[in-house]
Amino acid sequence: MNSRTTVNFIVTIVFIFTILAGQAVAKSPAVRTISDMTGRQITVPDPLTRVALFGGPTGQIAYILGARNQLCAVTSTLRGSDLVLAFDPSIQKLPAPRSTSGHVNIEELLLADPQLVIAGTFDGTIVEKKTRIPVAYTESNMNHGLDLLKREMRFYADVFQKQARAEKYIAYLEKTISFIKSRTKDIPQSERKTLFNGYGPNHLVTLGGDTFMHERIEIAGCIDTAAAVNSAGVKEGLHSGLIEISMEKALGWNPDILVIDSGDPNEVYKDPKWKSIKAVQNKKVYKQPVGVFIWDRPTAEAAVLHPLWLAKTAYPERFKDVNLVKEVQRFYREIMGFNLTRDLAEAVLAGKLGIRFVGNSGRK
Amino acid sequence: MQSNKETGIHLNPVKLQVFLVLLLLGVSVAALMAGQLRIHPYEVVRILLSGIFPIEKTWSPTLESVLFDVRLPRLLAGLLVGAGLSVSGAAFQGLFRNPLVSPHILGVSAGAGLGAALAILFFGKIFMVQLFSFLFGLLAVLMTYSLSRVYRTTPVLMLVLSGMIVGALFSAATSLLKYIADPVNQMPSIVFWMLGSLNNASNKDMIIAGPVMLAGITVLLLIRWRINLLAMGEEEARSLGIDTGRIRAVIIVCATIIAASAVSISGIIGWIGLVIPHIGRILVGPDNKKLLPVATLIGAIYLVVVDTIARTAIESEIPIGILTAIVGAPIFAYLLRKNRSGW
Repeated sequence: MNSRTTVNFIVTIVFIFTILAGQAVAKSPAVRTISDMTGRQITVPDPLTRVALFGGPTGQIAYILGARNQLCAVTSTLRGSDLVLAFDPSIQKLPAPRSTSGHVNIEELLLADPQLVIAGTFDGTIVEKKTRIPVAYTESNMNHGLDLLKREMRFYADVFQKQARAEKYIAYLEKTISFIKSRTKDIPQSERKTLFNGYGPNHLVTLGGDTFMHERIEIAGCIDTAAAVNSAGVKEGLHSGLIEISMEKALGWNPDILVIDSGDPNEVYKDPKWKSIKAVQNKKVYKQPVGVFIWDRPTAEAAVLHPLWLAKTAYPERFKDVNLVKEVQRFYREIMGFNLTRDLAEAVLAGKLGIRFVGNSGRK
Repeated sequence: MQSNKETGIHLNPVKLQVFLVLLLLGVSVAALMAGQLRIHPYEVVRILLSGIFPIEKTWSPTLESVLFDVRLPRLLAGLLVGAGLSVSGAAFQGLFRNPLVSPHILGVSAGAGLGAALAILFFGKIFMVQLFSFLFGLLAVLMTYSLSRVYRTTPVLMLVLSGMIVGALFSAATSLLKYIADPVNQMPSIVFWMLGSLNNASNKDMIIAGPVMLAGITVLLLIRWRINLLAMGEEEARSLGIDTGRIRAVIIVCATIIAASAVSISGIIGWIGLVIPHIGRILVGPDNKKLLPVATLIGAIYLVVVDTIARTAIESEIPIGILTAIVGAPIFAYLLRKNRSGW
């Protein structure tokens, strides 16, 4: 073989490969690389049109980012939310393959045919082990402060390519927080109200001082009675940062304000066990609001509205100009595209909405 | 039943009972002094006496509320639940002639668990949780009892088997409810409840459930010598002209009412009804006449001690069901090793 034929041969080979490579590129769909919240790089199809959300409270980013049409599976909490159902009943048609942490219905997930699953560590590893669907891990824990929330929002924005909407939300969040702080920062320590979140049927289950709740209570200018209690140890799963404290501890804290999530304040007023605390004597027991999700969770909606509600509830005289009903309406309209009626906004604030779990399972 | 002198310690039962009563008093006073809130013991005594004598109130109403609305009902609940579960455990172990039996053998805790889960799911109120757990506990035992009567020849065996069947059914239903419950709030509530706690005990509970449990305990103590007859065996007892069916029914009714009331106040506290009778047996031997009073006292002491740890050891509550086992298991293992108890 002389040098000419060799060159010809090589040129031919290169030519063939170029064509093949060109075809391969043309055939394989476009991809892009995203990095998840744990820093892993994941290659996903571009554009992403079928994403499965597993995380509990994060479903609302679908509306905050306007990415509702890019979802192919959601959580049962989102599907059972009274508020979501009022504005987007079609959400019920989406499957919810992940029921609770650690329970993933793989067949239902495969049927939903997602291009990407966004999940916490536990559920994500289950998906990775059993399927070939790429998984982006979120970082969610109960000491989920505002910084982590912003990081989370930007991560989702990256996935759905909705950066502008994410920045709009973050600006709204920062504006609201700094507004609340501007009204509460000069409250002298001696005049600050002590606040206890007493959840569960016995009103003794709470979120410790190492959870996101501490930050919210401080923003609202209140003193967190549970500051010394640690409960964020369990990152995910069953207890999700909740812990039960003893009755006499609650009495000893003697909070100015008691926030409950079960039953209603009148029952607490009548209960002889609670009669000695200031919150009962001054009739300052409140039911916690519920929006898309319950507000005692590190969600995007609660990060904005919960501290505002707390602050207005604790210091009505400092927030005379704030109309909570209007603020609720404004937030959901501007950020999530939900036009709440006055009645519905009042129901949110009164904690009357619910997350219906029973009866919402299964595809309809 | 003859007592075997080679096993157990076999203390003088009268001296032991006097000692246990004194210990119970000491433990109760200590429990009233201890708590998350530091109250000077002298102050505690003054506040308590103010309930009886006119003493000028120099303390805050909070302290009074802590003592009268929290510590006192909680102490009473601990005493009654501990005593009740132990005495019904001892009676059941005699009745079934089996050392592995606890008051929960007939499905009362499985039934109560389902009742509590239902109430948490649909009402979310403490009172409903208590009512439902009590009623479902009774319902489960009633089902066990009716089921056991379909096959009459071996009533004791049939009771245990029926208890297993009914228990499995109710536990499965509870698991189903946990699975469909809201994983954020309701499921933790159900789980917390299942772990047991005296944190919810109130004066109202004591007024309603206290007399019922006391009555159950008293009846069991009064008929304790008859349990010895049952322990001899069905045939022998019957040959002595004893209506074993009726005694069995009385024991089951009493133990069930006690266990259902206990569960409705405190959630499921395992281990006590199983092990305290054994500790009693190591101390006074297997004779139910001596065993039942001793088991009653030890059960009360034990639960009050453990509950005091549960509410004071760390900033938050420790579920007592976990502690009863963690504290009790080593003690039991030690006693077993040291003295092989007669059974």
